[in-house]
Amino acid sequence: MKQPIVLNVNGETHELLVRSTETLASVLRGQLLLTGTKEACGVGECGACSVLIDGRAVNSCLLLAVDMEGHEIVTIEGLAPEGELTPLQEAFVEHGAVHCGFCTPGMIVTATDYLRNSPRHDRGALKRAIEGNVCRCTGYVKIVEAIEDAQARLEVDRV
Amino acid sequence: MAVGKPVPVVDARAKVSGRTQYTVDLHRPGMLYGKILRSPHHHARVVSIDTSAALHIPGVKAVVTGFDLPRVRYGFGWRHRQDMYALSWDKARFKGDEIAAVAAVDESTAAEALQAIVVEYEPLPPVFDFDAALAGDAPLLHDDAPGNIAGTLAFSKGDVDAAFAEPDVVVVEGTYETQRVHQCYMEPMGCLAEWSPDGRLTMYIGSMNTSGIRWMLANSLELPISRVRVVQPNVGGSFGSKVTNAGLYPATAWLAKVTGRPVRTVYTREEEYFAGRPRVNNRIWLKTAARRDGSLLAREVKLLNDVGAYVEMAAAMLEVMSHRSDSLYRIPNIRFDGRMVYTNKSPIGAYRGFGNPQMTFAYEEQLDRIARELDMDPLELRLKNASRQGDVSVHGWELKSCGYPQALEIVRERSGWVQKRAERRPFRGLGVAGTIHEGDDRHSTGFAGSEATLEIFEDGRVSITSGEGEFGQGAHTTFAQIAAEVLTVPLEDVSVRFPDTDISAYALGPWGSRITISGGNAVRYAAEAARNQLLEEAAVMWDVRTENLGIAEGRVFVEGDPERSSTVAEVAKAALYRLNGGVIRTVGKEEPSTSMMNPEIQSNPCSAYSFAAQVAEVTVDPDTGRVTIEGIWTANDCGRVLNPLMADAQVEASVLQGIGFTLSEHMEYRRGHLREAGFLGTGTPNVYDMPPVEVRYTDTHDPYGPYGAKGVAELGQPPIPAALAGAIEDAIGVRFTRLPITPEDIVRALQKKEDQA
Ligand code: FES
Ligand code: FES
Repeated sequence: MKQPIVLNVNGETHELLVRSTETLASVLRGQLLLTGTKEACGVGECGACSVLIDGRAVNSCLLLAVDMEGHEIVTIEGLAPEGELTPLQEAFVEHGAVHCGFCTPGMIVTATDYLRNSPRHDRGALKRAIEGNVCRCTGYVKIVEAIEDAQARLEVDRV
Repeated sequence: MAVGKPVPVVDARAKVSGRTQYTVDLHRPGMLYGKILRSPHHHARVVSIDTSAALHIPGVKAVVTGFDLPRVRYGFGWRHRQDMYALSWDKARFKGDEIAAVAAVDESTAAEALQAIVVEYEPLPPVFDFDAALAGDAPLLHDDAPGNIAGTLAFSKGDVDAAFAEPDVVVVEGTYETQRVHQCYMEPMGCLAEWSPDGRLTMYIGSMNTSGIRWMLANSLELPISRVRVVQPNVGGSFGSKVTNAGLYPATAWLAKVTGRPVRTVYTREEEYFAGRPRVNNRIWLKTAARRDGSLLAREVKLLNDVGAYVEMAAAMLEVMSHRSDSLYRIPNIRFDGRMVYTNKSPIGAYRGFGNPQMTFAYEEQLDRIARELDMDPLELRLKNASRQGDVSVHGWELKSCGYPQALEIVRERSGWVQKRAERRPFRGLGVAGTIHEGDDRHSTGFAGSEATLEIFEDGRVSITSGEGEFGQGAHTTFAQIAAEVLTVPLEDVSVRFPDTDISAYALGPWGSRITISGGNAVRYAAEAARNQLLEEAAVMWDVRTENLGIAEGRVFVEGDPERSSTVAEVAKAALYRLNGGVIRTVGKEEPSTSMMNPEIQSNPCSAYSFAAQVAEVTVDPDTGRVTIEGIWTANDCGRVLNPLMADAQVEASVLQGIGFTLSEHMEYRRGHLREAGFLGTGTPNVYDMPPVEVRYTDTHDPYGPYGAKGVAELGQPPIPAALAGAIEDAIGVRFTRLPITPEDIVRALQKKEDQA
């Protein structure tokens, strides 16, 4: 049985019909065609499906779409206006932290949460933040560099 | 200068904003979702399949079985055994074997339909490992493969027996075993199939090998090859694996045919483990002899490769494993005997290094042992035997450039090898290993060339068409850099099309580290031809001789006459619109003068060979068995580095994959049952597993590769297992000859050592 729900995604309201068992990842990708959110495992082991729910990064493959009413959902597509990049996204480009790019949206969403919300910003906290995100193309070195560089840029901006 | 600069992949901006479309993201109006029914048995005769209940489920549009598809056997290439059906109809040969496929309006309906298909199986006794499969009374997987032998290869060069019998030689011997691991590319395998009204099939496949897949698809579906079009979208990683024509593709094509609608099928991660194409596990028996001065004299190998239920590309794997590593060192006498063994497990596939990590794990251990027996520094022993530029190896390989000795020297210096070995610290150790890799190879089909088309539009933008695929490794960036370099235009002005067999020329695809050399040279030739055309046009425009023209910074000009200068765009436009003019469009053809890879005779299959040396330093905690990697130093001979930013990450990622392969990754089978089928359970490394890694390059310039470059992608992984096992041995005095080396193994080995003491 499908049921009607209302989801707030990237600042827009969507009225949808979903099965009660359907995950948020599947609805975002299949119905809203927001395919930037990737699904690489479907069971919470890789972080490719990370989205921001009320500002915090969560694996959308583990969430039921029906539970998401009333929450603010932001996907990779919603981090910056079309054609623009956030400083973190810029840093990923410049540092060569992107190869095949399949882990990239999830990595950026997770790191966005880390930059905005982590009480500490150091190597240890950073590694803990992205521990659940698998990347097979880069060995993580360039990813860590990119996030740290974005962190430095944001701090400069704040001053 | 576009070449040699650290530039991010050309499509990085689209990727960071989530706007890149991969196969799994493709949607079509009316698209159906495919799913595959897999055998729950390791080995069973298929007695009957009843699909009627599944077909009655609302939303289910088609169910197909092996009885519906053409019942033709196909294989990886025409030189390989043809032992596979798109959907198995006679028997299931591994748990996960493809039996039926469904198409439905959504994934959950498709999943429901799978449950409703009733298959009657007659279980047969399975074989899971070498000993069981090779036993005299073993059940056979394939009636036409007695003894479960899927193929053999044996050859001998020099006089191995005489060498081993020489007086005063050091002889070491041992058996090594490796495990299956999954490549763990992040985008699962998938495809989208659609048929046009004229009966042509278009397949969107996240494959590295569009031309090869087209051939296999045409075979398995009994279609003329010209009726199949394969398009490659962005690929979320492959590492060698995505060259297969697993049943998924022909089955999806058939679903699309019978429903008349586009069908997309995507593997779940679990399916990846049950029915993907993981790295081959092997048993390697090896014997090596050296003279007392350390010079290598002879090597004998007996290799068993567990190929699973179907040969797939395992024959190519056996051929490469049989002899590639022999050319890393000077060694005159070689004997090899290899067999491929069928077992009731999933078929295997390519993975970065193509057998090299496994062989290197064995070979380099024996070098360590020889060094110990001769009381030599193991790195010194390697340097003494290292192949050098200008060498022709035991197999006839011509090493026109070889930076291996320099690579060894670099890692010796960078790691502090000499000093650290002098001041030994408890439970801390160092290991060294090296590797050789091919850079394009003439293999399988005989064709080893590449072709690229280049077009300059009247706005000055450049478009490259090549069938050599991008799967995240940066091929398009390399191609764009080369064209930008030749035409002196900004990198942003060059775009590269994804392979589409209707548009791009026949291509072998990115395996064997061949893209930079083969694909890169083709692009370079096309760009050079386009540059000549630009100059010829300008010569007409200004009525001067081409010799008096130059090109720089995107402008064509008359030497010494600053007045007469035009942008590439202006020249391209002039060419297009003048009488008898035309578009600037060129073809670059690369065809190396190599010979067919054939280890049984002498051959020189590659136009260049790449090398690497690595040192690993570890600390072992004797109580927990935990290995901490203090550092990995790598020196890579990939010729001139075209893009340090990408090359570094390629090496770093390969090193981490090697670490996973050595210490944690394992598709572990217990009595044939795969124990875990996910990233976590199989030990996939995360950010914490990446140690400090230093990436250096030799200053080699290859005479054949574009701008002196050779392949880099497969250099990082092969030495790691040997270097780490050597470092662990150096730390605790125990050498492990089986992978992976887990903390439990270490604790147990230390316990045993203590008990014996
Ligand atoms: S797809 Fe959600 S964690 Fe892997
Ligand atoms: S860039 Fe390919 S998985 Fe991270």
